[in-house]
Amino acid sequence: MLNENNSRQNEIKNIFSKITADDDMKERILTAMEEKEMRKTGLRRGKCIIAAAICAAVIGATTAFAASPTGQEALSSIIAYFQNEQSTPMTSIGELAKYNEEVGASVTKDGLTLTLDNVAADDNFVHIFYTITSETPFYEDGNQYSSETWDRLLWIECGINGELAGYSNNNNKADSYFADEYTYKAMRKYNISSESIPDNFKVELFGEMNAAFKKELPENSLFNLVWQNKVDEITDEQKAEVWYVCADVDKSAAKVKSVTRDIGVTLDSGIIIDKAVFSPFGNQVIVRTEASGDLNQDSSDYALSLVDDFALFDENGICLDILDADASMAADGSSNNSFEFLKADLNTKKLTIVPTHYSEPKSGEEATVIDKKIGEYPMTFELKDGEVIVTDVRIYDGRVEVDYRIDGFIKYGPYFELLNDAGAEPGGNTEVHYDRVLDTEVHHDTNSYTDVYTYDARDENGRPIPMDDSVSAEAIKANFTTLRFERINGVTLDWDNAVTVDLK
Amino acid sequence: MTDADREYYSEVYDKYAADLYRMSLIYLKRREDAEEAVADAFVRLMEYRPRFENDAHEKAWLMKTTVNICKNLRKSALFRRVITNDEVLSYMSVPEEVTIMEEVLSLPPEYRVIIYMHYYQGYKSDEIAAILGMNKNTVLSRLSRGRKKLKSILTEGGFFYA
Repeated sequence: MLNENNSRQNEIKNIFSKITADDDMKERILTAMEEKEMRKTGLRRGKCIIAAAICAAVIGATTAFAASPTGQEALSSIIAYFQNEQSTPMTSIGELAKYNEEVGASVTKDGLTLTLDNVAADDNFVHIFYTITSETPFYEDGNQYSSETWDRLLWIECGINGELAGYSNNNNKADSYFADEYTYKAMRKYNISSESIPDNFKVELFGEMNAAFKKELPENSLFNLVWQNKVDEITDEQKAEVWYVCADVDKSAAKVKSVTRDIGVTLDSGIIIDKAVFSPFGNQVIVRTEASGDLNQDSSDYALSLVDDFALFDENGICLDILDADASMAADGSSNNSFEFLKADLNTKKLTIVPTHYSEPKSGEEATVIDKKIGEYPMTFELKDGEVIVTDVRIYDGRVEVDYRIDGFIKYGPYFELLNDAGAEPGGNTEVHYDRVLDTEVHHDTNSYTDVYTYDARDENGRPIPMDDSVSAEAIKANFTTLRFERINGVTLDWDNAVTVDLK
Repeated sequence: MTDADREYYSEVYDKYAADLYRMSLIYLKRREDAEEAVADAFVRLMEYRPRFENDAHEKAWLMKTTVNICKNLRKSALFRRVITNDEVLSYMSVPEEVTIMEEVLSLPPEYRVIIYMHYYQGYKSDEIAAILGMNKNTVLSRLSRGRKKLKSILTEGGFFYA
């Protein structure tokens, strides 16, 4: 076992070690540092895609139902999760509250209790809410980030109808926080849009102490066996070894439908849009590419299509925002990804799929850069095919939030830079290093977004350290004057090859 | 930049740049962008001149900074898209290596970085969580997904005894 693990680690290390920087990189970087000419404009050159045949077909439609509505207690439980300011909204809370199923199954062992609180499901997503409570504090003195804290927690996996959830699809999300020193609350959002989950399905949660993962797991441990797909059914003995809870969920009694529409459109890039699922939890298109050739061929012979090179419009010509997703592609060019989109619902009548292309702009025209002084809203950044409307900018101690919405086609959303009058980042000082980390919150209820820029200072152990006055709200306000919007040029909508699908 | 500064940054480069570049390339898949991420990290090092208590602290700071730069680079402009694996694979010399690296690259970028930090850098999950400012459960979860996938290819491909 040990030899195997060492062998695996050595082999992977060997493969990573093949990557080397060229000899001149050092000089280039040192020279750039000296000249302070590093540009952070976000200019990017795209890659061409290889054309293929195009065909379009509307195959049919199926209807499925969302999870059953439940009582007020269950609703308040879901809402309670999100009322904590540490939580991250991932789905419309109002919709979650309508379609969730209160479970409350729990198991206690070694002073830790794992409770499966709620399940909210439809054809697109299964949301799992769970809580881990401890008889002794997970942490003391507010230090949530110590190794000891993590070692006392459970590592959780989830099974949906006997399949390990979250491993076969993209666009899965997770969120968690400590409600207090005794209580850890978490949610998982599993994308099941490309799977066939029946109305009645089983959810299993099983947990293991994190301490076990300081070393390699025993080969016959439940977790290892599950990861290797060697478990048909978890036995009672195995359940007793871990923290195990399960629930039968019935999503057939819903009053409101989510609807799956088969699309079956192949774009000239080779992108196949299989279906669209319109759901209160979030609409998704399921997109795939097929294996495109022998791995050993010259790279130019197998076209790795850019899997999101398309835009969506409804019957009124409104561009539907396609959200970022952790898309991935297998080695042979095949892929299966889901992309969530806003501004559509069950009443959407038509979907027009417009291929997008990128061609490298002329030198000097690579990007559009628009600077606007903050303070008066709405603030509109206009581009060729759409506009970004900033509706508010809020400044807090150590954090800046930018609210905006998108009208029209803005591929990948905006990318703002916060600047002072000298064109530098506002806030921070030279004594403490602050990273400004960008997170984007999606407001499904209003089809809008908030970009959250957080000044993040940590010590050598990765623990957060207190903000100093250089990133106080007052200090940032004193410096932050300009919002910069940058957009690469060269992305075009190919209306000549657009395909419209009737959804009714 | 004084000669002493240049000498200092040169030493830091020699110690860490190769690792930072590997990590950036694994994340971003393009040489040009990986170099930009490393360069940007060094520019930030120059701008902020943080005080490091030891080499481990310095390395952790650079890795965290570089990952954050990669994350923001990917957020900008055209980075929210799938990019070909060619530039990473060009470093591989035999088909077996290509196959394994392709599997690594088929994972989402945040997973790839964790796989790299664990298997190449040898960081434990709690150390990765600390460096990336991430919930350890998230690290473990992503590590397990990556490990599961790699284990499958390594064992099925016959590269390791299972």
